[in-house]
Amino acid sequence: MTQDAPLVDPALATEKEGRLIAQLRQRGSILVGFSGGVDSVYLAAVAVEAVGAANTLAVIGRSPSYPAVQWEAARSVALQMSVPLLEVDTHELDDPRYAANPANRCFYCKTELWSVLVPIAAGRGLAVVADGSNADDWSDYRPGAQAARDHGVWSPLSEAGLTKAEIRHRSAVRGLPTANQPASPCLSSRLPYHVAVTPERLAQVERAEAALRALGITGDLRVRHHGDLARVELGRAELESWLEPAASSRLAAALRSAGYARASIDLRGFRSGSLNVLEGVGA
Amino acid sequence: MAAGDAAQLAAALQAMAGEVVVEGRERLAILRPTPARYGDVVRQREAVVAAARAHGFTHVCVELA
Repeated sequence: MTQDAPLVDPALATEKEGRLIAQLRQRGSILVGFSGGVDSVYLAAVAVEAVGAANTLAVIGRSPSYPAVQWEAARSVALQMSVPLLEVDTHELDDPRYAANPANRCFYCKTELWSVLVPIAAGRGLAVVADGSNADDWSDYRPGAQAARDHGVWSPLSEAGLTKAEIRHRSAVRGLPTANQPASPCLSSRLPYHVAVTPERLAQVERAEAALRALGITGDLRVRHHGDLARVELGRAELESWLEPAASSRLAAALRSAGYARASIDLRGFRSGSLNVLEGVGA
Repeated sequence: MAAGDAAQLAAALQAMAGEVVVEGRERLAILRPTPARYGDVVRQREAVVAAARAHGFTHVCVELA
């Protein structure tokens, strides 16, 4: 389902989780920036075990860059795990520095997010605010990490040395529904840098990805927005079958239904941070 | 950051997949093979990607009819 599945040493992953639990107990209470993705769901689940649901709060920051389908999934999984959940609106698109879509766009988004979440934690007496960054995240260009540092946000998964593969493994052991869920970064990541982020463009990408999911694509998927052209990146497991002429015609029709005049498939398939490479940023 | 060379890539593809129109957008190559040649491009995609990289493109996609 996902791009890569590195081998995991189960004993080492368990040991790291033990370290994580000890760190959480030391803090006593936590607000988790919650996207409903693999990392934040795992962190919230472990936090509930370590410090109890009464001392854990998961917070979703909603904005047009956050797909509606992901909100629903995040709500559902929080309910399933009995994690107290709060949803707040964030307004990064109102910040012209974000909307201009520079290479460090994520810095402004996360600055907005943490500037909303940190006061919530303070108001509720929660000891720390945490994100779901993991030990692998430092290999890609992530300007959002600076905003987290600026706001004193803690990255316990990274601190415990847990990699994405280990988090998926431990999620599966815990029976979390996100164990094999593809990564799903914000919709703005589908726009090349310096193409302005607008609610209309984000909605178009969201419609296109929803239309492709409706065709049965379950693995890694990104619709990269190049103006009139949609460039689809698919995981290796699904790429070949969707390149077949009949299947590719269905894919093209779905993209046109979302408003793209031209449809294409990337021949290399899904690459995390693909547009960073295109722009020569951090790669 | 130099853009890819669409004309040179089109020439390189001629040998492996016949005539393919190449539209370059900075470092993205958009390939438009004829319907008859679409299968050739797809089947040889690793070689196509290698050719695109050799001519300065980091990304290569095939446009769907």
